[in-house]
Amino acid sequence: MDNMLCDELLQEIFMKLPPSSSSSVSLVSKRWLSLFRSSRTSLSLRLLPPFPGVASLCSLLSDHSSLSSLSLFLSSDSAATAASTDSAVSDYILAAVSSCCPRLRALRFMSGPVSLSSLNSLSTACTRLTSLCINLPRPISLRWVLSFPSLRELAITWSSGGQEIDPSNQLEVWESDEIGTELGLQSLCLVGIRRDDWGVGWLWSSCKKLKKLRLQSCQGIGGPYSSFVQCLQNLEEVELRTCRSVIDGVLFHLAENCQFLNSLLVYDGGSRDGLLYFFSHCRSNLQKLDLRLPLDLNNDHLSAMASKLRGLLSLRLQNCCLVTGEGLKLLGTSGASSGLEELALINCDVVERESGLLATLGQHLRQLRKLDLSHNELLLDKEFISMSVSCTHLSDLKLRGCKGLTNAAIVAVLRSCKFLENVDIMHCGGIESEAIEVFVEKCPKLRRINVEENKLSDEAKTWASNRFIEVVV
Amino acid sequence: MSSPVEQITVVSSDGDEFKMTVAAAMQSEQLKQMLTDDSISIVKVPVENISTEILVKVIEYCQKHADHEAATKANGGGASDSEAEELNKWDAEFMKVDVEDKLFHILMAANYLEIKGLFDLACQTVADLIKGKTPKQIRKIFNLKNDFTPEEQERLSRQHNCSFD
Repeated sequence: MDNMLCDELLQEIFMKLPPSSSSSVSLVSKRWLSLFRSSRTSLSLRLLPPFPGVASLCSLLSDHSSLSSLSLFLSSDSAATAASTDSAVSDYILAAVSSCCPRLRALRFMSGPVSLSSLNSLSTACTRLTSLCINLPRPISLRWVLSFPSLRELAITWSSGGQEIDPSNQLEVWESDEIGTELGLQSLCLVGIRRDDWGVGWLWSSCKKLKKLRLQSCQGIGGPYSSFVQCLQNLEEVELRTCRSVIDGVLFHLAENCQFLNSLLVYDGGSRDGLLYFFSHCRSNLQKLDLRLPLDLNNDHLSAMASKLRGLLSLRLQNCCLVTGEGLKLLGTSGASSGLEELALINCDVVERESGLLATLGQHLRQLRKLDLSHNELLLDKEFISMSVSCTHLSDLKLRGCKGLTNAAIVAVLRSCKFLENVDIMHCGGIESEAIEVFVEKCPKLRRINVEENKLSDEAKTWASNRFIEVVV
Repeated sequence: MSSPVEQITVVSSDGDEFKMTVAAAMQSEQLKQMLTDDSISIVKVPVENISTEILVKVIEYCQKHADHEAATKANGGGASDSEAEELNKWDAEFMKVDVEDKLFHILMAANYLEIKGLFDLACQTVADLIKGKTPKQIRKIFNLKNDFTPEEQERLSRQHNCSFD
């Protein structure tokens, strides 16, 4: 049997192995180690101090000759480590990547800030890079993006710490030199722009093909709004996380300039006026809305959504405690929601407080495919069941942490929802093994269930195995 | 134009002959190429590196999957979920061979005859054999020698413990 399987066959088999097998497979024999490494197209490494030397890192990376995607996480052992040390380490590791992985298409490099000269080396060596995630120092300087012509996805983090930069020292002069550049970037994620940061303006005005934008923990947009609006023409998806100070301006310009926006996510930092303006004036046909805004979202916004939006497909609200049944009913029964396929009301206590709300929503949203009512601890069977009887086309149901639900809920769902494929009932204290067992046995289209292992009887496990149902514990 | 062929004969490396329906033979890209090429008139196809024992299994797989395809077409295209489940169960039972040796031979046969479904199934079955096992156990299954020095083994283990996911 020795060496019966040729190299290519062995590599085909390796491709079907889960990541957890990689350490065992690598230790079988030298041939297996070499074949395994050269068959891997993606690799994820976490490096701990003391960091490996250049030679051993290069040797490891070169063994993985088919690598197209690499994620590197550099953990620092103490917060007291000086930023400059981090930078030196990050630089030499990035240099190793540049020299050993010329075919790389995607690189995630989570470390201390890397220097611009390292980035230049990377751009010369890895010419096929289409996706880059990197940590940069201040002052903000983005001219290097031009040297990555194949780049389509870019994510930059500017970490906190480091000196405050006097805005008047910023290099505004070269910005105007770059007018007219067009970058091929389609997805951009910027994290940590501070109020006084400058230098992003050039990037905004050059990304006319941008489809996806994500801003996280930004106190400013790093440039004038006159530049920012130039990237909004083709934007389809926007995510704004924890950007309270800048959200008014951004939402205003999104409303004024975007015509193709179909997905908006706003978490942990909104503005009542900004949101209201957006929903009242938005010209795009928004299809997906995902809001986690405990302090800012209220019925006025829901009312504006009800009158302005047309083809909403997915609505997710989390922790939105200012919203009441009146607002939700208005939105749920309006033309905006007539095609709604996905609804999530996660930890929204309105669902627990107002009886009859879910029943009304259910009656108007009969075509719903995905429902998520997770973390509503006081949600009662009666309320939930009054919705599930109407939403018979559900394929995905999440009730994680709904401690108030009992077996009756599962029994009812089994009766009404014949198309359920994915169900999450983790941490539902009131739902017991017997009911789960019947559910796993009888739910016709079930493919996947999330539940605690100790709630699965042996019969349930057998049923799951025979029916090829994936159990996630 | 040759007259339509209903069956072909395949000959194992041991010299035994087996008849296969055309539908079953079409499961193999190799055989399919031969069948659809009008310039070749098929009488017997020798498959030199496949023994009788393995060939019997391969033909069984091809016939089952050809029958399933025909039944699906008769029902108007979409395989119902229960039928797909049944086929999966059949496949799982089919792959329960007594000796791992047989498994590798089936894999190589599927590779040679280019039977995609059987190839993927066999690869996955071998992968499932490897999953969750220690290097020592894997070596036993594949009858391999450990050619690492103790120092090399130590170094590799350390690498895997702290840096790989």
